[in-house]
Amino acid sequence: MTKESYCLWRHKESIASDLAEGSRLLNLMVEKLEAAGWASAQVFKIHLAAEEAMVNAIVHGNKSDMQKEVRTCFTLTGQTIRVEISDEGDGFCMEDIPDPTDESRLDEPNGRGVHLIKNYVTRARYNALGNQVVLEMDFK
Amino acid sequence: MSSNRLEITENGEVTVVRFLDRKILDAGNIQEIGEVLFALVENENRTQILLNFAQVEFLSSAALNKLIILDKKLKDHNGNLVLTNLRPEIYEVFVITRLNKVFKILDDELAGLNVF
Repeated sequence: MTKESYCLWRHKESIASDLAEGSRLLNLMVEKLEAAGWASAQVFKIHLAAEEAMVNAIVHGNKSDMQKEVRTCFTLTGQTIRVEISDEGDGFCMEDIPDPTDESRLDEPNGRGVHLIKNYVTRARYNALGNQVVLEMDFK
Repeated sequence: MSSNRLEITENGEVTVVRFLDRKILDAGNIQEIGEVLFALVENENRTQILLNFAQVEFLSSAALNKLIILDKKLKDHNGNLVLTNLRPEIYEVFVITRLNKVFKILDDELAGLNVF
């Protein structure tokens, strides 16, 4: 095992569909990244992408139903932060989400979360149903 | 309408709004900010608005949505919206979403005031 692949922090937790709970976990992630020496610009990007994914899971996936859970797993190694977020919703199809940067849609007041996620992490993968996303960002 | 999340002052015909939160994230806070900003246009007939982001270190797409709605309301009232003092990371969010093509974005408040 190389030094870079050592697991520095791993946290697995299921939370109620509560944005405050989501923020608590993301603040914990930010603390761990800063402690591991990640640059503020990188922390900003994974924080924003994870925030958008968390809001999507809680608000759009679980419809803010407190009886439904959001499952999360954070894994930080010397080279990567990995964030898994799953909800109990019906999922979505990436192809159904219009490009918010299309000239005709620039002033539409929604639909930018997934676009920001795609642009801000090294890798973003959704499961086939679209109710689980795995975000990865490499240490720079 | 007042808010402890926003500092609102007048500079001639321009209403200057400074965000006081470092993070514009929480759904409840964003809702409150939206209500205050929309009331400036709809209830107080203020049509020239400058938003100063100097304190803001982080914002999400939910906050962007409120800004887009505010911009539309101002355009409906023949008004103008100018954004100033965006940190590089925040400005990049506008570039990636191409919202830098929608909003007038200036370096600082003085430059912003000169646009009106």
